[in-house]
Amino acid sequence: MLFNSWVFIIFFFQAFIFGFWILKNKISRYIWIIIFSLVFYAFWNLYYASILVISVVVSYIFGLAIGRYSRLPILWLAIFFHLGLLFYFKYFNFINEIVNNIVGGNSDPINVILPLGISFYTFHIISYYVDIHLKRIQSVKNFLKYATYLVFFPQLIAGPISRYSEVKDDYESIDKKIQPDFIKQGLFLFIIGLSKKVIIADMLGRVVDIYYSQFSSTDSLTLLFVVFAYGVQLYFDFSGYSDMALGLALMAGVKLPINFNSPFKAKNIPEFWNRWNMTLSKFITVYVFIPLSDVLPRNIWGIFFNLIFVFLLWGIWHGAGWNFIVFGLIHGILSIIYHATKRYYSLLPGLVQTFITFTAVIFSFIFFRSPNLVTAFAIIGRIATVNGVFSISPYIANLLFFLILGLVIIFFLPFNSNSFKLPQKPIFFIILGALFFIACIFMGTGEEIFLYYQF
Amino acid sequence: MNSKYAFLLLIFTGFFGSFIIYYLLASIINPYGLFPWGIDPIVDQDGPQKELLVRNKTSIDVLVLGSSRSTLLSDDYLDNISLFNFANTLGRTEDAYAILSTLIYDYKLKPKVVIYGLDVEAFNPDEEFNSFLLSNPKYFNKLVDNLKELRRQTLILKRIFSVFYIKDMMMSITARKQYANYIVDQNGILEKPFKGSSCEWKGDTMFFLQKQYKSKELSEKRINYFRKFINLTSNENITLIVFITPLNPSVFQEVNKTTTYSHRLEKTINLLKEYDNSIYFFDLSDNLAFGGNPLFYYDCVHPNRNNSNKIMMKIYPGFSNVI
Repeated sequence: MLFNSWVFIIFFFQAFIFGFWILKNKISRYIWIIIFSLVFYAFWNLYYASILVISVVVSYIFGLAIGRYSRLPILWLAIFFHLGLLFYFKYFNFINEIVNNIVGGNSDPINVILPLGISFYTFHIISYYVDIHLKRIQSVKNFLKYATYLVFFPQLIAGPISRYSEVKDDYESIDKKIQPDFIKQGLFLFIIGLSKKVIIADMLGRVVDIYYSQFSSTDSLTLLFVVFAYGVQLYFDFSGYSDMALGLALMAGVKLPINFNSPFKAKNIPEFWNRWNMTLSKFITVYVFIPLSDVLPRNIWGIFFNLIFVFLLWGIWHGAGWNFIVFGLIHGILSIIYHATKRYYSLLPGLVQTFITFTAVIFSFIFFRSPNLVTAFAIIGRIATVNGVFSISPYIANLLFFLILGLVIIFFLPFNSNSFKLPQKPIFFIILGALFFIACIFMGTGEEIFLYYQF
Repeated sequence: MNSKYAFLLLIFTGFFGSFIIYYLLASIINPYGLFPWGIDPIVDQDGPQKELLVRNKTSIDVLVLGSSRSTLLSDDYLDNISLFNFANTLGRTEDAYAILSTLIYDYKLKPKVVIYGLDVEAFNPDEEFNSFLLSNPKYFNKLVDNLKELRRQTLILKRIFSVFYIKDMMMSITARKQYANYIVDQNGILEKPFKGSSCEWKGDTMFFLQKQYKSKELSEKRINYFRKFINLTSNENITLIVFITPLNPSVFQEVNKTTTYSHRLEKTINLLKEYDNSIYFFDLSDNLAFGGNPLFYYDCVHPNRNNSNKIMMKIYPGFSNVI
């Protein structure tokens, strides 16, 4: 089920809030959340919901064992179990293809689809294990509370990734009375997120898809606009999803960590990653980069190696393909270049730094969007060699309109939705209602899946 | 605000206020004729104009139906024959059936010959029902057997709450200017001047190509309408000429790279062969094979007047003995 679907908005969401409001005690609210979350997931695939349930049960038991025995082998066993599942579904075919290419084998790829949200809930689980092992938190004894934390539907499919320590108080006091301010803030975030998704991201996406599929016949300038449009589409799509997730959770009294903080205003690549998909950045920093820093040499080469490794991991997390590896590599190299030239780079005017960073990120997204490396390089080549004659067609006019609208919102609005303080004037809420209506009109053209669902 | 939840009331006010304003606006502009009132809707450039022209006719020898690819079929090589070209954006089989029924039953115009320029897309299940057709109740009412299906698809709330409806509302307001520049002669033949003959791979062409890659099957609904269309001509003793419209060779080559288009083309040809005894069928899908000039296109998919004349010469033997 998608947040931007009629069935979710008209039935699921309202039934959830209504039931949550009626039920007053902890246990019933936990059960209510778990049931709705499993239904939400099973709408996509009933069979794969069982994998989610197994992951919840196994991680609950492992969590108790790690807490009780505090033994490293148990931690590794637990982590390997979940990483093994992730690896099987996400990377088996990719590795199989590489092995076949190397040894000339001919084993068939397995016919599996990637379970929705598996990397997100796996990361939740790993952070939970490690934090227990390092005594940052205690293992959760109450199974219902733990299951609620893991399957809570607003964050189940595409994050944000919340460490248990960040949200445990909210789950602990899930029986508290629903606060009007939370509902207000939650509705605001949900409507803003929905509008980001259906008005800008989806409108851009339809034209971007057409030109990406026919890039070899598209002129260079159009292709350049399309490449920028994809970057804007991706931001509005994913941050729109995150806003909706935050809003939905807030209405149930849970404050999820924010996931975006105007990333395109970043002045360098490391700052970009501190503002884009912030919870995953934090996860990788805390659970990969910092532990790795402890074992690598404490010199410049150790840091550079660590950066490259971490960004490669970032890239390959997004998908099993060489284009994602190159995507990660680009960001690793750009981060190293930044650190090596920081002294001089920081002398540039802030606007120039932002422009350089924005352009570099957009450039790297060509690898992210392309189905493979060959296509990515072909697109770059076509842009660089100035092919064809640009002319405005209705599709390009459409694309430019939403691209400019998106860029104005990104660069010129003085706030980002996550940290925006709500005005209390009545007219603001009337406009919010009107915006919701406009988003519904755009929704009427069909439901488009969120781009980050595939990761 | 007095109550802690007053903001909910305000959000509802904003939402339903916008709803009412939008609904009123939609019903006033009424581009598809979904509401029983409203200003004169124009969502199609040449359709309404052709309808005005055809109303003034007392008889028609040859009627041309089909999509925009057939709009330039003319009487250039037909002496003393009354031809009317009703081809426009209405190129699907249900469109052809609805238009011919309207001419016969509402306007009492029974042509001796009907030439139907059939696009392979006329059977494409991925093509929506034609909103232009739905804008005119006369056509719409001819599709009675599928009325339920059409009503479902045109359910007012579902239909108007889409950006496409907004686009068509805007077009209804602004189309008058384009309408003035859109020239068709007294016989419905397009006289718009076309610059050049190059096939540029721009958005429209790509959008066209995208649709070709989806389905291998023909729409059953559209096949049914095609059968009804043939039965209608047969019952009215009208000679029916059907030709598959050619594409610019570069596009034809491109769409044939995938199996979807070639599958549908093959199925379309097989379907037409079923009616070998009752219709004259010409497969002109391959421009080179039928002798058309690959340069005689004003864009990637539309034959220009020269190529249209070549088409006419090719199909003329099919009806030369009738008129």
